[in-house]
Amino acid sequence: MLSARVLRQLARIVGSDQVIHAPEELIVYECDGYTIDKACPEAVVLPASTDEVARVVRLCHRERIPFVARGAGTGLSGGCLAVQGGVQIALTRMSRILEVDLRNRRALVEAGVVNIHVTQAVSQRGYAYAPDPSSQVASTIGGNIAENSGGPHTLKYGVTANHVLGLEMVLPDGEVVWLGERSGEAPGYDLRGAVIGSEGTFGVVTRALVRLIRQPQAFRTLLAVYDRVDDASETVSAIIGRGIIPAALEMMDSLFVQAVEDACACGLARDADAVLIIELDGLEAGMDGQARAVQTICRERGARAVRLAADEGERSALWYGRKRAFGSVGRLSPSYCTQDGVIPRSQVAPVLREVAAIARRHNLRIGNVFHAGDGNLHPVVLFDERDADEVRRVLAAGDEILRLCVAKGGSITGEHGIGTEKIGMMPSLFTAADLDAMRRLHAAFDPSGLCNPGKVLPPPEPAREAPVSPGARGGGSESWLAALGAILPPEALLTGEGAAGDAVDGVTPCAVASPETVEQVCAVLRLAAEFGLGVCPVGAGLHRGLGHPPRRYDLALSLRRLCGRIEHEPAEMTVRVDAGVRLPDLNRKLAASGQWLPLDPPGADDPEASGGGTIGGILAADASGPSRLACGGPRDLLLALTIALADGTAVRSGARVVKNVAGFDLCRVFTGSLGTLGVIVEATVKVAPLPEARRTVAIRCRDPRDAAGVLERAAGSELLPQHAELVNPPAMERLGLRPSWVVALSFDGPAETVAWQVARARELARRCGLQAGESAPTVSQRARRGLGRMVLGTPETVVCRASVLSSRVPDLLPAFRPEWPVWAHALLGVVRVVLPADGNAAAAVSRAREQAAALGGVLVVESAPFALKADLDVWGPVRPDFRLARALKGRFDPGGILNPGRFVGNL
Amino acid sequence: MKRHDDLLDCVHCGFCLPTCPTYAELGREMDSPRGRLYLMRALADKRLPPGATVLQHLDLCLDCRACESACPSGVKYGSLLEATRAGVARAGARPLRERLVNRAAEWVFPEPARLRRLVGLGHLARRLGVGGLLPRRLREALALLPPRLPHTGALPERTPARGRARLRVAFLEGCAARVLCPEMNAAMVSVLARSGCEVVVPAGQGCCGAIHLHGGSREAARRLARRNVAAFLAEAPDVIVANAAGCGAAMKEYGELLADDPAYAERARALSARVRDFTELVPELPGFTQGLGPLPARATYHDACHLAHAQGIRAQPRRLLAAIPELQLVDLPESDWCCGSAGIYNVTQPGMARRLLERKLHNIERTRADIVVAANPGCLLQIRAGVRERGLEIEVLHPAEVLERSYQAGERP
Repeated sequence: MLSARVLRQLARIVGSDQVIHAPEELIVYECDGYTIDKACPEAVVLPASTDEVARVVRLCHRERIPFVARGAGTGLSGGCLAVQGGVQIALTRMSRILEVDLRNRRALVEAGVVNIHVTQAVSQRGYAYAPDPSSQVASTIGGNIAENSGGPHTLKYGVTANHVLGLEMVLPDGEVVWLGERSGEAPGYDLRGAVIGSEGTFGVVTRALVRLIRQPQAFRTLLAVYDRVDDASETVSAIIGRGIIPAALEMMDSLFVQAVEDACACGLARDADAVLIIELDGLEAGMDGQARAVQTICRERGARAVRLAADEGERSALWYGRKRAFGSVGRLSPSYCTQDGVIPRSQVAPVLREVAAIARRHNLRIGNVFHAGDGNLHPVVLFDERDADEVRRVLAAGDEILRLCVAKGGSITGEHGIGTEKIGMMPSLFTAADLDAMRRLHAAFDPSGLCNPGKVLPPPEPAREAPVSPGARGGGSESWLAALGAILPPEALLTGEGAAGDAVDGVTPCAVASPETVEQVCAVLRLAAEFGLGVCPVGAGLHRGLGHPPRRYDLALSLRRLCGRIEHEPAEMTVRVDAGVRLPDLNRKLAASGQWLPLDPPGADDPEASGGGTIGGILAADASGPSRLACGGPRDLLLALTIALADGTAVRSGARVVKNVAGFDLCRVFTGSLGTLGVIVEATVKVAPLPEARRTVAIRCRDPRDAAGVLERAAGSELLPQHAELVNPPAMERLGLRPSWVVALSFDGPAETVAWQVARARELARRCGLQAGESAPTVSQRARRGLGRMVLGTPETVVCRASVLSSRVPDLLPAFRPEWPVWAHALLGVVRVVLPADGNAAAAVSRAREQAAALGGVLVVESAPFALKADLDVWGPVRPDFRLARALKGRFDPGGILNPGRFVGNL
Repeated sequence: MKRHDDLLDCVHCGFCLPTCPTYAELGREMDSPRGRLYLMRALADKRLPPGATVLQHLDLCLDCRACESACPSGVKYGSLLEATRAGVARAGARPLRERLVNRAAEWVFPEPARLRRLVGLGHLARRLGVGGLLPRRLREALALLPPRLPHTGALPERTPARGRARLRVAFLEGCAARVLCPEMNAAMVSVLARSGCEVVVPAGQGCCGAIHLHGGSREAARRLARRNVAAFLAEAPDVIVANAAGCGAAMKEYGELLADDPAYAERARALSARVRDFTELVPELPGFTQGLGPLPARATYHDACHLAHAQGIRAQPRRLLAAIPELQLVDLPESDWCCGSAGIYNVTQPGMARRLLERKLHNIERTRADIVVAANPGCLLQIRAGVRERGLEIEVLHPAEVLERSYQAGERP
């Protein structure tokens, strides 16, 4: 029990009527949407502001009282249960939508805002918040962030992590920080990404900056009815295999079809063995063609009937039924338990057969309603919680189902989280080392362990091996070179002159180690840790100019020879690659199956630029290009990583499935960490179907004001460009083209859709009184590659990358001199400018940075000659959350051997 | 154990939370439908004694049943709450003051003479300027009273249909409406007659018993139900029209309420099967649109809880209003959100009732409507009082009154 003194202090913070401590009231807080585990908090407080949350957390921290945040209590894994008692912080009163910025497609909301209220606030003006968990009518944005919630439409639009740009959080010691983007992307570790999906164990999120999407112009929603579950399952793979990405692809078996029909009679076929709800969305042009293609596939795979929803009424009836599926189970049995395993989607048919067998073996009823397109199963086990024996069988069956998912290369949870429910399963999915890495991430945020304790991670097992003690072995370079020679074959070790090619900022390492296997990478790192060497991981070298000069640089760890493996699963649309694989090589291979990895950072997709970027390098630098606008950046495409940590252990995060929330996400933290936390050795990424057509409309503008007008209209239009680029006259000149301001809009997709967009883009230009021409594909590709090379940096140039709100791009331009080449991904707010590397560079950079800062943005020097770096602040001022970054670095690289001093804040 | 099984229908999904007015105001789980069901279950499982704190949360429920509309599992929240309240009443756990308020309401409302006398006293208090000295609950009740009591011409026992009689309708005139808004009743009868209904007002009718049922006095409710079963079936009507949403909902459930009474079960079911709300019946009557004249105004429709949530009647009243020429119908934000009237709620829970009224008025003002239409006398009184208090130029009318005006406009040369 909390003492009367603590209760009094809580009351002083939030008001006495906002503290609940009577046992007969607390009882309703003992569980959330997962009712098998129960735990009562000792008090519940309902703060009204971030400040009140912070004061409550500070009090808890001071008094060593555990605390946990709670939203609507709709979680399905017991994530908000107060398993160690203490204080539950209910954020339901913090439910205001604070700002809506449609031009830049974002909204600032409090954590207690109900998911669907965000969409409701902007839907009249044609926008929406994309993640739509079935609980969206009740669940809160804060809760969605904790669980990294998905939903039916994540197949196309991604999960919460792809739609939360930044967040305000109260750290477990009561400090309030802002993580992630505000109005420009600040460099540093992706702590925002780490927090999303951390199940409320890293702190209490109080506000979020969420991304809004344009509501699709058109929908085609189909209901396909099957007499065999297998046929329905195979349809799923067939649709995706054909390169069609529906917005949602949902499946329901007979048990659910009947329950849903009882609940809301939404027109499913009662006697079906399985139904698929397939939704296509996007632009009207080309939509009928896609819908016909899907109908044909369904029929080919044995659908008894395929019905296209005739109007919005029929469409919403189908979704109304689907979203109420779980709730409707109450009609079938007193209790139910939903599993949330994920499998590669091509495995749906065999896995469902095995699930049915498990149900028979345990004498249980199991129904299925799930996100088939994602391979995210939801077997729902029906039972009566008053029957102890049945409960035991339910838990055993659940265990078997999840083990089955793991055995198929999947995960134990796609969107519900680990919570208290699946802690016991964690060791079946992760090694002790994987879990230890997650613990390190957690400890960087919550060293005290008071924030939502008892969740996600099982208690650590005692270490079997003695940890590496950094710098334990002494001796000069001869001794460690000799030790290295014992690990690597001679051709994998270069010394002396041979190492000059991997010099960084004029510093040449003693040696370049080029391991060919993950084991060798780990061995090299272990050795480096023991000798306390300064190690810079290197790939193609495209980003070598980034960051401060290394404080110490003994050994270059080249990943270029770790490139043997490309495991492409076309039906899954995923590929697993070694870190040293080059992007052009990968895309050549994927193209054979009609797919590509939609990343195009400057130089990386250009075989003539040092052979193209390596996957490891792209991920480490979080490098992206124009296609991020439509396809997302490396973080959005990354599914799993294998990382060699500074102590030489290899750990894995994520899984080879498109949806997975098991454990803390190291993938997002390591992406963009510039090799300062560990070395990326292998990655699994999502790939996309190659577009049927790509066309580019180039609009010549008389001046930047014209360009701003075009961009303004494009941003507010229904166009869905793949690229939206802005180039200034000097940059055009560099490309050997007629100098002028140009806005180039590229469109990818089905030929019909692209043609419609091209016509609309031309019309848009005409309305602005401007001339628009279509560039031939070879011309636009050459231009893009030329611009890419232009910003890779030379000894004569300084390249800066500014990030501002898309609407502020035109306001940033006056900060640059007219003769400096400028290239912007205008709708992303990313602007690159090339300055001469002369005596004025430092002053010019700081002026440009001031201008960016005045617009709420940031500016980073991506490349500069070594001689200038001493005068340049390459990263700009450190963020207020730098303390967390330092803690993270300390946990993962305590000896400071990885890229010492190069990252933000000289980490 | 039947009740307990029904409690297990709740799978704790939480879909009801954002639809619950008290949860939206307070953000507390105990004041949400899911939380209350959890408390009811704890009471049933004897994990909790029926103490004052638990009761306070059960009593704060408006019984608006918005949660039933939202519930995918079909939890019968309203009847579970009534059963629990009845159990609590039997256990004698309710504080004396609460019991007195409930008993007083049950004593006053069913008897027009008592209600009229009380209203007269209220007006007197207001005139003497001593209203401010009264306890808050009475003050809130007083504020609801119309400035002048409308004239009390009783409804004729039988009103013939205009033209050929197509239906014989028995009309429930309602205890409070009879005294507080008789013009609404008159309009309903007139509209029904215009649409070819012969309307009878059974003399033996009385209170429907909803107040008793919601307050946990189940036996009293059953007594009243029996009286109405006898009185209404004696008229052999085709349809029984209830003038108030809550009364209609209660009468539609007589079959269930008297299911274990062998003498009445069958007749109660027969009665329930014939009950229609006024707004439910009229759009079904052929030719109700004939003779409607123009009514140039901007109107918005408020869903009474016991129409929208308890009876699922949402589209029909809107259809009815849409038929009126030149009446512009605009959406009311949170139209199916309780206005705080909820039977005798503004007497038992004046604080929450006030907050919900403010919320409703705020939404009404946003529509810039000239007329707010609500198909329930409780809502009419509540919203009228609010409009009066804020000094808004907005009329608050029952659909029947709007229709009657439209017909009258149609009759003008």
